[in-house]
Amino acid sequence: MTMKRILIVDDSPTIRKLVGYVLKKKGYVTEEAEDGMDALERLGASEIDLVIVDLNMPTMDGISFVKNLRNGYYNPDLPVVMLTTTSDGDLKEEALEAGVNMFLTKPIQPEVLIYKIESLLAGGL
Amino acid sequence: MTKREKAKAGDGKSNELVLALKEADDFTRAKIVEKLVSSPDKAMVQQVVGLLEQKNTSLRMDALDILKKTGNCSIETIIQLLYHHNEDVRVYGCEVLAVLRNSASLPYLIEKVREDNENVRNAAIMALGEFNDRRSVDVLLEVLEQEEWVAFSAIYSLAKIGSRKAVPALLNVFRNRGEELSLAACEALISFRDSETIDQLVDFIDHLERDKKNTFVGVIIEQGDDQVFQRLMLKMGNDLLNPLLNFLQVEKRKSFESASFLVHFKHRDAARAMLNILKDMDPEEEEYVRVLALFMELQGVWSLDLEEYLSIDEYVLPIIRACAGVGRAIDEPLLLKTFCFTQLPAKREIMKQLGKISNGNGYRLIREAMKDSDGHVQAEAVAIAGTMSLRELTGDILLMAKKGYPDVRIKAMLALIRLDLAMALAAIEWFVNEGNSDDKRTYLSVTSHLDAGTNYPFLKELITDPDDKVRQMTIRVIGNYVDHEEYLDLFREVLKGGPIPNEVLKVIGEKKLTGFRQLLLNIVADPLQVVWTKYYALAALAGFADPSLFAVFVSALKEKNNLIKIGALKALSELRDKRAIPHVRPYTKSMDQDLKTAALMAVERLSQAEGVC
Amino acid sequence: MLTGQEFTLLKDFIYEKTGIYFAENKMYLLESRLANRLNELSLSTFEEYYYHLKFGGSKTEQEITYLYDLVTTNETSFFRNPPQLDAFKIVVQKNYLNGTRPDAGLRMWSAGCSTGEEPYTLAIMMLELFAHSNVSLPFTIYGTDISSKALESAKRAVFNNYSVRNTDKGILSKYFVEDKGMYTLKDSVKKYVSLDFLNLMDASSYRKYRQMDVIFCRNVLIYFDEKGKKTVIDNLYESLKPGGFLTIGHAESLHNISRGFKPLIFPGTIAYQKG
Repeated sequence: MTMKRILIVDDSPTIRKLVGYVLKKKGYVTEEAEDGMDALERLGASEIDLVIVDLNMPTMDGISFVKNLRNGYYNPDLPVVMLTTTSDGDLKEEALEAGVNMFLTKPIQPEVLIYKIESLLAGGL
Repeated sequence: MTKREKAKAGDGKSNELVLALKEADDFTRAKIVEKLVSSPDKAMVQQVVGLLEQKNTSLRMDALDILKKTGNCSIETIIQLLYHHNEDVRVYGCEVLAVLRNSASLPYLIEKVREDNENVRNAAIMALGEFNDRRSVDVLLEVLEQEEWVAFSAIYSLAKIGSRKAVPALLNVFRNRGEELSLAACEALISFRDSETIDQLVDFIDHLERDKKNTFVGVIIEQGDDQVFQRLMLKMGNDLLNPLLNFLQVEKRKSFESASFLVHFKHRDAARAMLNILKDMDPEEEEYVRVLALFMELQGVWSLDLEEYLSIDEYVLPIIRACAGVGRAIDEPLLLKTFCFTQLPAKREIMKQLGKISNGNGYRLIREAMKDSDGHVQAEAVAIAGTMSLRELTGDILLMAKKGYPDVRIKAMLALIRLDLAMALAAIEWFVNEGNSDDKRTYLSVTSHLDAGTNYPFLKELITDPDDKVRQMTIRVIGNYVDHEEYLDLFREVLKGGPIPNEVLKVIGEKKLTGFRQLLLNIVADPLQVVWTKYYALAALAGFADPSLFAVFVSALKEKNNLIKIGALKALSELRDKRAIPHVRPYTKSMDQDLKTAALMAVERLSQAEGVC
Repeated sequence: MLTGQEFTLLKDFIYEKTGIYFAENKMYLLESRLANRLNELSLSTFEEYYYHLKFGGSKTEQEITYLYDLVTTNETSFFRNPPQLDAFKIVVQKNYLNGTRPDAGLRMWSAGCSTGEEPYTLAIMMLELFAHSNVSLPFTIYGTDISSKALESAKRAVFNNYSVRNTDKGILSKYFVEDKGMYTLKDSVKKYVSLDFLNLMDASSYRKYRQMDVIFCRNVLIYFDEKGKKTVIDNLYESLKPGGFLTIGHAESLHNISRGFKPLIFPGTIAYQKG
């Protein structure tokens, strides 16, 4: 069985690393991008199975990224998990409309992260 | 305007811009941000801070960007953000302070490490890593015992600060806490580059079970630290190769780094992995050469499998280059087979390196290559045929000299001259008397390989050729024989009409043919002469090393045209007459870069010269 | 043979004229490219060649055209980078064959077309799309480059089998005439392609290339530094119609270069749309 590839998009290298380690421990292969534009370019270069994306990023933020993804011709149904802080409640609606599948609140709890990813990859929404 | 009015006007402008920012589209917003960042002021910072609570995420991010670049104008405003009621804004505050690195903010950030909200604490912990300041160490050490998420960030911040005080605590985390923290601590400890610490790390890793071991090895490779890697090799030996290969396959690694790890293993799998790296690189890049050099170090391993590798198209080019680099010959049948089935770039490379990789005279291969449709391949082939004196191919070479790509024809002609001079001369005779311009120019390109006497009758014929280009080339060639007695009449023909060719002037200077002195002086003095001719005439005169020409050069310096001035400057510097210095010096301040450089060089050379002052 | 100082003079000159940037580690590359030219001109030093370029008067313009030939070497072939071409197909089908039909016909531009493989590939693709969908559209493909030698070769449209190595056999027999291992493109394709000289750093020369629907700029950005890339991309932005498409080299990124484009992802590649 081939390993699933997950793209981690966040402008903080430390968060990318932490999420990366959590995922690698479970046997996933990870790739990183530092903002939405970078992420879209990586999608063009590799076969990605799921994206974890932060809301707040420079150059292109999380919501714009998801909009571009859903309007593109590359796997528009690609599962997306968005990282938010609790205060972003109002923006959650906008994000859902843009096409985000699930949210994950910071601080990140590794077990919750894995649980959500696994359920998305298994086909559950 | 008064100072206050000016300040208000300034405020007004940035006020407008900040308002415009709210309404603008992506493209325009980027331009506004540029403008605001280029002229920062306190008031503007205070306004932009207000944008941090806007719903529009792109706008918030732009505001953050502006503050990261201009926040130092009003550091108190930024510090105040740490006490905002909105947790997101407090996080932004930490992020901005991390970029600004203003030491006034440090104590406030340290305080924030103890606040309730975890996201804010985390942001503060990460920010502290950016200040290279030991005051943060104690509070960060406390965090190591807290939840995973913040402890993780604290580890990296401690690594960035680099205080050895943290080492024992980090070792503790490495050994005892959960996997992610352990990995982070491993990375951090490596960055301290302390031999004893590293030994402890390596020892611990070696005792882990396989999967965990591989993960840690992955971390070490990712760090790219050769020192640590070598220590690991000492412990694990060839067992380290598989995790390395696994890692390289999965991750997309930078080429030279990966190769420099692989080279430690005298193993076929390592050689193959390096070939895989090379096949994806651009052969013209400098990095390719460096990776190839490493590959060549594994010669003992890959040279046993040449047949296998050469059957894989993408490996041919690097293998050929590597064999040439180490002087490893390839059996001719194998080389021929490879040549026939491979792609063009590899074909060209084989021909280029034939001298180094062929263990025979390459006859069959060269013959094959001479028939190839690619000009480069043909040219190399025929050139080698000449150098290797492959007489059997003379007939084919003659045909190639008579027709085909110009470059190939020339090389074929050169080979023919080597192999069978009589045949070459017969062909040339035909070219000159009955051939077309291309034929004549083919001959003219090889004149330097024949002696003056042999060339004479042909050049005599061509000097009156109806084709302009042929004539010009002929004149250039004749220029080289300017000191040969028998060419004197031809030479007079050349000087009869039109400008003196530069080649001729060059030779006059090189061979110090002082008989032409007056001719040259006439050229320099003639106001109607072509600029380039004057330049070369000056250069030729300079070659005479005649001190009496000093005045001529000084006067040439006064000419309007910069090229002439440069020629004069060079001539004066070659004369090594220090009297020139005051004439040259003014030009060292010239606005024209070329003049200035020439003058500076001239002054330097003149100052070093001995003699007349 | 090329000294550090001569390298600086030449690379600055080239940069000024063309925007093409030679980094420090490319000194040997520049030397090997120019060495032959020095021989042809019977010059003995690179410094002389530099003065030849600067002070040659009317000859300078001519010499600069040779220089352009020498500093650009384009590795190009027919049907290069299939994912990008598939994306092009999708864009044309969705937006132009089934959507808005520009009255003036579709205008496309291969910026940095070198020896012509790219514009001709696009032309063939258009013709194939028409054949398979029974829909057609007038179209023109402009091909521009800074190397006149490459353009001449493109106009001749005769290619060796290395150039067509990734071309489907059916396509080859339909659109090319083969003779002794060389493939000549049929006029039925050539007539859609218009080739001309263009220096991408010269903003005034873009005048002729406005209101483009699609631009391919795949082989060129690698030659420029950040500043040069920005200039070219901004100019290309202005050349596009609103809603027009841009494709750049697969190893390139608009990441820090331009925010005016909306990224559009496809399997294996990314294209950009003017907002």
